Order: sequence, then C-alpha cells, then structure tokens
Amino acid sequence: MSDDAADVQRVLSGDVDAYAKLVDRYYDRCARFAIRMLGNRDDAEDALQSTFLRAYRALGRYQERDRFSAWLYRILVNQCRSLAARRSHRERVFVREEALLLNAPDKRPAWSGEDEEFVQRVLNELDPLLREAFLLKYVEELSYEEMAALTGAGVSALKMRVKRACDKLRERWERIRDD
Amino acid sequence: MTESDPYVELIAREAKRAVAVDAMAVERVMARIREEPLPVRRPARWGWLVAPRSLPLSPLVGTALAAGLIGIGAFFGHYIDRGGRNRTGGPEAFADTNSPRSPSSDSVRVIKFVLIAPHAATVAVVGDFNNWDAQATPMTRTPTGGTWSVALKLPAGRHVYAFVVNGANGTSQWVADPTAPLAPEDGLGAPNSVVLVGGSAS
Amino acid sequence: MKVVSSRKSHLIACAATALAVAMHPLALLAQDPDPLSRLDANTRFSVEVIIDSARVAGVPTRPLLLKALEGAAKHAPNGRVIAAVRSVFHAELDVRVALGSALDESEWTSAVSALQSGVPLEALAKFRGDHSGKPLTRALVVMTDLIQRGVPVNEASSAIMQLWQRGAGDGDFYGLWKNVEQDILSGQNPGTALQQRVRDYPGRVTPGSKIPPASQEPENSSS
Repeated sequence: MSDDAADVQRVLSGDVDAYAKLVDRYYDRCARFAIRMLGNRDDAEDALQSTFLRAYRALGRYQERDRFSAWLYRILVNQCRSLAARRSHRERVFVREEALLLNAPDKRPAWSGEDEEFVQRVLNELDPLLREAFLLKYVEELSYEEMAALTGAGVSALKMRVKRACDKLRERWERIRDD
Repeated sequence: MTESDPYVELIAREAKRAVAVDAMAVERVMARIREEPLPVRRPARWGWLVAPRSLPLSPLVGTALAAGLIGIGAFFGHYIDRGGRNRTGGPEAFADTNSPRSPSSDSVRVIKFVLIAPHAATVAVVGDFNNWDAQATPMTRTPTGGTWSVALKLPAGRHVYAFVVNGANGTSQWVADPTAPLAPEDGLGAPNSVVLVGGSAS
Repeated sequence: MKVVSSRKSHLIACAATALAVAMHPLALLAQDPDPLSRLDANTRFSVEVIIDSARVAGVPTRPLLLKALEGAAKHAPNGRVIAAVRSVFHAELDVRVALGSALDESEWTSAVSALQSGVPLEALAKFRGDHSGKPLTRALVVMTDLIQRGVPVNEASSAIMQLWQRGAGDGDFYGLWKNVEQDILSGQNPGTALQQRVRDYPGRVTPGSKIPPASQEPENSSS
C-alpha cells in the first residue's frame, strides 16, 4: 500500500493527524499550481483550503487504486475554476508585495528570465482554460490521459488548448522582441 | 514534451519553480479540518478503500503474543464430532442447522469460549451478548493454569465478541479469537471475532 | 470455543468441563435499562440521532446501539464511535438496496459486515432472492473472514457465490473456511488457498447438501 493510501486508511480509522501528513506532502505542490493558476496568493490559499477540506470530507470515497495525487488534483482544479469564476470580474493584479512574499527579487518587472513576477503576468494573460492546460502539461507534467481524467475534457481538446497556449506565449515573445 | 521553443520552455521552467509557502498554512488547514466530523467510509458501487490484512492473526493477538500474555497452541479446545472422533482446533462455529429464517429466541445453545493465556491475570469475554461489558463475563482459569474458559448460553444467530486480557501490571488488551472467523475492521481499533450459534441439531 | 451438546455418549470430557464452568443466566442477555449512559452526553446525542434516523428509515437499530456500546467499551474517541455507528447505519441502507428487508438480524449484521469489509454492493445483491433454508449468514461470515485474511475481495465474493449457487450447505462453508484458514496459517497465499479449496468442493457440493437428518439426534434447547 502506498504511503498515501496508508494515511487515508488511518484517517478513516479515526487518526485525524494522519491527514496532516497528507496535507504536508501535497501542500507545496498544490500551492504552486493554485498560485500560478489564480495569479495571487489570497485566492490561492482560499482554493487550497477548500481543496483539502473537500478532499477530507470525501475521503470515504477515495479508492486505493486511484493515485491519491490525481484524485486530489481533480478537486484542486475544480476549486480553482470555481474560485476564478466567482472572482472573474474582479481584476487581481499580481503586485510587487506578493512577489516579495514569493521570494522573488525586489526589482522592476523588466524582462528577465529570473523574474517570477513576470512569468506570472505572462500566465495571467492566457485564457484560464489555456493556462490550466499549460500548467497541467508543463508544470505538473501530466500526460494527456491524466489531464483528461482530471479536467473532464477530451485528449484532443486538451492538446489543442496546450498548443494554443504555447502559440500565445510565442506571440507575446515576438511582440516583446520586436519592441 | 515541451514544444521546442525556448521561450515556452523558459516560462515552463520558471512556473515550475517552487513557491514559498507560509509556514503556518498547513496548520491553518488542519485547524479547519479538526472542526470537521471524521470522514466515513462510504461504499461506492465498485467497492471502497479496504486493504485486506495478510495476517491470519489480528495485530492485537500478535501484540499479546509478543507480550507473552497469550500463547497459540495447537490445542485450542476440542470437541467430539458426530462419529465420536476427537477433533482439534476451532470453534464449532457453523453448527449445522435447518436454517430457520429467523434465529428464534427460544433456541439457545451453550457455547464454550476458550483462550490460552498463561500469563494473564484475568481474562473476560465481551460481545454483543453482554452489551460489551468487560466486567460482565469473567473467564475461569483451568486447573492446568494456561487456559481460560467460560460457557455461555447464547441465542441462535450471529454474535460478535472478543477477549479482554489483563496482565498483572494492569495492562489490558482486546484480543480476537485466533481460531474464529474475523469480523471486519470498522475504525474502533480492536478486532472482533464471530460465532454462529446454530438454531437446531448439529 | 466449542458447542456443548447434551449427548453424554459423545462428550464425556467436554461435558464434565462445561458443567464445572460457571454458566451465566439468560438474564445477562437482557438489555440494561440505559446502556447509552456509558457514553458522554454529546456522543450519546449524536448516536441517538443516528438511531432515530435508522428507526425512521426502517432498518435495524439494535446493531447501532451495540456498535456504540462496543466503542465505549473499547474507549474509542467519541468521533470514532459516532463514525462507526454512522457507518453501520449507512451500510444497513445499502444492505436493504442489495438484499431487501426480509432478513433476520444475523443476516442483516453479516451483510453489513460483508459491505464493511469491501464487498461491492452488486456482489452482495447476487444473494438476493429466496434464501430460506440456505445458509446466507454463514456464507457471508466466511466471505468476510476470508477477505480479512487477505483474499482479494473479488476472488472471495466470486468463490463464495459459486458455492452458494451450487447449493452448498452449512457444513460445506464451514469445511471450506476451516481448510482455507489452516492453509493460510501454514503460509499459503490466501487467494491461492481459497481457489484450491473451492476446486476441491464442487464435486462434493450437491444441491441441498447438509448433514442428513437421520444421523442427528434431537437437541434440547439448553443443557
């Protein structure tokens, strides 16, 4: 039995602290996705908290043959989507202060390969579905089949979204380069 | 995997960098979790998360064995079968029956519970027949010293039970009957055994 | 653990021992007037709510009460006791879906245990239908035990269903269980042990096979 499945068993047997182990194991990675996806820390933390809460409530339905990370990510992706939908009309700009919290160097967001805030701005410009597909493919490094299981979209739709995300990123680079 | 475009690769590489997470974030999540009721195993249409134990003995029996409290002997009480032959081992847990649709309450059998526990100070049997009261049914040490037993009148049907083995130092362990069928684990920790009391002739 | 019968000619040693051992009166089996008083107030309240829901739903309440008492006796944390009681309640609802309500109490509890050990609903539902005269409780107890001992769920349920459909009786299920248990204890892989023993059984299992009544003597109901 994997560590994850063993910890799930322990929680279902009443050991709440075993859930802390699961949260610990996955929080950072989930936080990375949530922040990149939502573009700011506050929203990301909301999404993370509701993800782990929903996962906890649904633990009784988790089956050992599923990869726990995949099962958890399905919840995370949905939480990010519904949160983004709720706040879509509110423009959240990725501010410099948040960049500090993320250990990014305090400098003007000029083009620089090492500027994390810049990367977040670029990602924010992508349509959410494209951004999601891009992150799942190139940051989470999932296969298209795994992405399909997570998002409910078909493999070919996902391939198209990833391609369009890359096309848009390339267009942006060409605009910057040509300026 | 990444499209061979340096710009896209750069974005991907940067996005892959770990983000610093507030040290208290996990704590905040757990604080919220602790306010929740414990999740319950819910049966899905296609089974749910249970890892079958590969041990033939319950873990607590193993612990009790290690503590020297009980011993698993080849002899665990014997009964004489229909043909008059001595047979060792196991409970007559499946007394043959004409399988009445309801285990009728006027059909009662005497069941003898036996446990080998040479180093125990006291042993009791607990189960649905005595409301799980560990004081209700103490067992008696046999003259040979290593074996504890008690005979109970039980109504026909399925009963769940376990032994509570108390050491001289005040320790107390719940132990399943090593030779009886096991009841499933259900989150209360200590394992139980099952006895089926037949409703008619055996 | 053994059954004591009143047939003196066969049970000299056992009978002597049995008579020498304290026998507990049936009064012990009567319900304590307020068994839930062993629980703290909040836990008791939650358990009573669940029992009330079960009553309204028309499923057995006694197993729920007993589960709460078991939890109290084991000094389990309150949350776990409540979760265990709720788990039985939910399993009972599923048992009713799978098997209907025309079950005796032992069939209910053994079906609940089968679900709790991981048997899928549709596997349990195959036992639905007229099972008067058939050892449903015994079949389910054996199946549950084998799963606890490491036989994969689908192998255990299909093996037991095979025997069931071929009309195996109490003695057959008992014999199967006894043999497989011994095989597992002597180190065999549980799934393999079961499959081998099931292969042994089909030849001996005939419809309605039980110990022929002629060799049984009428039993007193108590001794």
